[in-house]
Amino acid sequence: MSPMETFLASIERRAYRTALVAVGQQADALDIVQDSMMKLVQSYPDRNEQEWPALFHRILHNRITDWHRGASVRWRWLPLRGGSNAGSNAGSSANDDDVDSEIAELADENEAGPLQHLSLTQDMNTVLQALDGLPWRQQQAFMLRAWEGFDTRTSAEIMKCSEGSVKTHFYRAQQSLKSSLESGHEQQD
Amino acid sequence: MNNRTNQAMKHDPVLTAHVTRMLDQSIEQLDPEVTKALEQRRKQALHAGRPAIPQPFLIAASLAAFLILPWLMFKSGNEAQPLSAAQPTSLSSAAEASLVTDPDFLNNWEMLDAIGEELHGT
Repeated sequence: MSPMETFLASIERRAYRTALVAVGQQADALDIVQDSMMKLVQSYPDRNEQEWPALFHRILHNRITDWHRGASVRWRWLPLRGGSNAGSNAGSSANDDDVDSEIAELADENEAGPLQHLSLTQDMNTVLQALDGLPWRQQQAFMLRAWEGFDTRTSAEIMKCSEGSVKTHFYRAQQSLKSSLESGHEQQD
Repeated sequence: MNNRTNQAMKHDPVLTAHVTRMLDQSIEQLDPEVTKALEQRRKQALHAGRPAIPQPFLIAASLAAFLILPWLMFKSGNEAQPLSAAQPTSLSSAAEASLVTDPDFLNNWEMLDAIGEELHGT
């Protein structure tokens, strides 16, 4: 097995999960993952192996963003098919980048303390649904920062935005997840 | 303001650890069919991504074609030229050939009358 194949085998399931959470359709998620793999193999085989994860995620997130743009166009022509997260997520992410100052005014440090005592739902599907319900930019920030472990700077490069925007999206994602999972837990009880 | 923002936008390790644990769990429990499909997609991507012929060979072949093709065209053009003179293929070259071989072609009263000319020397 070549180093490239080993690398792709190591990230394919995580990439699939990221794509599936973002687009919500198995076939599209598989296509996006394959397309991203192909692009990496074609364009960056000679790059340092340590650069591959960030490069791959940049390609993957570009593909997902393209999918969202396509979805928003499709949804414009099919107005009766509302309610999917694809169109709504794409739409809500449009103006999310210019919110640093708003967050500073809205966030209350007394409310945003650690969730040490929070009882979170242990149901995996509820967690995935909560992630699924986030706007795309928040999903991106959460997946890159929390799950993939990229630092703010690399995440900003992948998301093509400022580091401040990454922090904002990540913070908002945590807040949304917190409220979703708390309510999910209450519903379970 | 910045202190307040940083404090408020603090990372929440408990929540993130919980969600990432669930995500890890979800990929451990992926449907075997999806795992198989991913493996196939990876192989297709690797196969499609690599050029079938090594790049140096492609460069050498294209250079050779670049040099040989004009020479071949030039050579075939030289060979075709005597043939066309001996065996006219098009209609215009057939008419020219008949004029060359039969100078009295137009020295025909009916022909000249048809085009409104008079026969010279009469």
